[in-house]
Amino acid sequence: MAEEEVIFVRRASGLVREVGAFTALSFVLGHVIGGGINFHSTMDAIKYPGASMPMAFVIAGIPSVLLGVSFALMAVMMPRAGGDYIFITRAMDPIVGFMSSWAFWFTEAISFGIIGAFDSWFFGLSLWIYGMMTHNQGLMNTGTWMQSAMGQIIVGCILVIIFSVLALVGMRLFGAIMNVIVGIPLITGIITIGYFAMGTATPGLAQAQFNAIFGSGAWGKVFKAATDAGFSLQQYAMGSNFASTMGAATPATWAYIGFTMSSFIGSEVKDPSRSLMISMALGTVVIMAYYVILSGTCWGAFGDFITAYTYAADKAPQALAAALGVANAPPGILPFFGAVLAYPNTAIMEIIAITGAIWLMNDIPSFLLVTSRQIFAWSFDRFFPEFLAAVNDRFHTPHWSIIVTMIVGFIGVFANAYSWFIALVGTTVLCIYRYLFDAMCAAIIPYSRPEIYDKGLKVMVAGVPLITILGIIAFAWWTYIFYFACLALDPLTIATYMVWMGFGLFIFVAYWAYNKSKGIDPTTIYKEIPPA
Amino acid sequence: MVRLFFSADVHGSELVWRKWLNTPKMRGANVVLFCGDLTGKSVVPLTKRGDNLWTCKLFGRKWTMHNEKEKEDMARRIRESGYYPVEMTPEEITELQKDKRKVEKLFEEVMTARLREWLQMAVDTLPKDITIYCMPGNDDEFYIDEVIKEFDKNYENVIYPLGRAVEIPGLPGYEMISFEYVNPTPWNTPREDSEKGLWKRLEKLSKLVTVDWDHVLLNFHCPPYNTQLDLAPKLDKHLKPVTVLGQVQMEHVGSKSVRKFEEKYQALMGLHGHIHESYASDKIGKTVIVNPGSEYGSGILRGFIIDLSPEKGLETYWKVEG
Repeated sequence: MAEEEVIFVRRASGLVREVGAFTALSFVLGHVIGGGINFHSTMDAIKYPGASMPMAFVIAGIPSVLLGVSFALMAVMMPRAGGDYIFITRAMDPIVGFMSSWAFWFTEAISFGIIGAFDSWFFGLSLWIYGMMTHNQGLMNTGTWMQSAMGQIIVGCILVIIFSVLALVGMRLFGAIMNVIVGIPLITGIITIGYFAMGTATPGLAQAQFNAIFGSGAWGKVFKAATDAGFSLQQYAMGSNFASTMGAATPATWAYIGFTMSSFIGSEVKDPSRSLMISMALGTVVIMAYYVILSGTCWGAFGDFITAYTYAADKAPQALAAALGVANAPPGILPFFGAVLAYPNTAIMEIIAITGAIWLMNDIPSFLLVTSRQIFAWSFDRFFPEFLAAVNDRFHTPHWSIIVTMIVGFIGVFANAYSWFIALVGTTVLCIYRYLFDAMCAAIIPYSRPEIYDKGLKVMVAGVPLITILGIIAFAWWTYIFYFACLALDPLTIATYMVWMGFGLFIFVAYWAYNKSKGIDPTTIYKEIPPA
Repeated sequence: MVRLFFSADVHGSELVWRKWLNTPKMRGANVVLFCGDLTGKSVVPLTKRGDNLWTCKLFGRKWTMHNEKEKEDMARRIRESGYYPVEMTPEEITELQKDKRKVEKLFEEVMTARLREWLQMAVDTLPKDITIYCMPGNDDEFYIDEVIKEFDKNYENVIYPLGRAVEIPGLPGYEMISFEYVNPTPWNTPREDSEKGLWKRLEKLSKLVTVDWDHVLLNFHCPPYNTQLDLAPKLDKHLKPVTVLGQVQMEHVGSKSVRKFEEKYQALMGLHGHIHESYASDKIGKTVIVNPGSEYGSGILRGFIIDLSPEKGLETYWKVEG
């Protein structure tokens, strides 16, 4: 029921506010929590010797929370489709905003299909691990097929099609389904935390469980296989090297990507002030807590065994397999360790094993929305083909933007299945590059566009707008992480970035000139907040 | 001698419309033109909160009305400001917020209803020998044309002038052609076209003229580029006017095709609107051009009185407001 006074205006984007606060939060949780926590929190320990993985998630989490709150505040000022593309183009500069959005679109669009294919691989791996631990050959075979190129293509394409069709038929159904596929892994994730907490509180439990599954002395054999391959506790003891922890914060940053998700559907969120604050500000805090508690309890239960196991899996897979008494040893992903603690309850083991895969699957709807709404926002501003801003009258969804996103999704599926170069390009730097401008925008918006700032939630701290303070801190912090992320860049990634950003610049300049030729002054477009 | 009263850009303001209806009496005009951007931009719900209790949002603040009279006063105030008051329950508002089509339908209903009411008021109030020209502008949806056409069909003194060359009563041998499109704006209004598109449309329109061009009035909503008629304030990034030494800086935003057309055909006069800030007259070659601008938000009627005679054509013209 409408409690606030409203005015209806004639011009509208065609999008309709159908997404409530709970669903907006689901979209954010779904976008953020995925493969990152399940892989990076354990397996990255060998890439960054001596790193504290839970601390890495704290280091990446704090600026995410700061930026999450800043984003929520900006989204309340401008609750429109397109997220930070709208904020930066309106409050900073059009070209900076477009290029920042263009960079982020690359990370999202490419990831969309890749996640579809990768989820097949992840589901397959989870089934295979569960099959191996319960000696079920059928599950292992199914898991193996799902990990194959063909399995990834078929399952990946099915996922892309299903979610694209759901996105086309309206946000109400799409949101309801999202609530279900986020709610399930959230519950099972909490169960996993419970097992890890039990393992942390009971010294020796993890070792006993591991030995119960893989045979007496398996735990020690894993340490020996790792040590024989060059592993040493002196070098790899968790938390012994701060620089490594900082390095590990870079991939952990990727695990936080998407906390800004609900800002991209700003025109479709009901009661924007409340929904956007809950989904982004509170959502990022919830995610950080989930990550830190999950990884912290996992490491609390298994300690340096995680590093030894992961090291052996990487450097001496055959010796590890022999230690476990299996043909192929599973990688040291977080759900594997969770399933170990749940033994012998096979139902819980299965649930824990596939929790990570479900978290990954529910990334797809959010990535799809972010990608399609960015296209919509550019097109609505006349900086992309205008037909892409069309909204279906019946379902209130930007159908052409979604269809284009679906096509890009198929490319991502094939890229992942066949390891095309595009799937190998790291996109974290582009993501952080965009965060830098977001933080800058948050810092300056009360001064660059005071009339827009006045529309939002104005909180002052010692006479300075809170959003400015948050923006400055987030900018400094993200700059620090950006530096570490850039250190990891490879030539292929740098070249790809240059080509992509050059193409984006060409598009922006071309549309600027095109609009001018039609008699439209593009600066006037970027002075206005687009209609909801 | 024929006296025209030309005004534009009422944007739904009932106060301005009522003032316009008085112009034949007040100014002695026998032809009145109300051209371009007739409809308003917002519906203001009068939310029914209980028995004898309504609330609404207007001018950035919340208002509470405690009886029918207060509600009617508020509705009048809303109408006079160019908005559409609609009484609704909170549930109906929620329903509208969910469905864009219902909002569009509501706008269609209120905009056509008000225009119909206005035109009825005009034919009932004005003497039959006063000719009324009424046409939409770039900001008007296409369905409002049907309302004007309906009156054009049913009343001899109401004329929908688009798509034809019309004669001015009392001015034999003179014609007027009308055109509502404008060059693109950043806001995607319903009747915009590229300069190239405008030129094609204008050239097609020129074929309708059957008299010498110095006997033609151009009733074009869009003003020609680079004149006194198309000056809008230059805005800074805060959307505030740029000032230098206290003077507001202006920039030209009119149509180059309209200018080219007027340069080419050298008609008797150009009647324009669209740019509210440019309350001015100018000349393109021999063609006198005027734009009454608009201050509909303040309830001020602006217009040009234009005296024409069959012998001399344009006798004189001057600005009026009130």
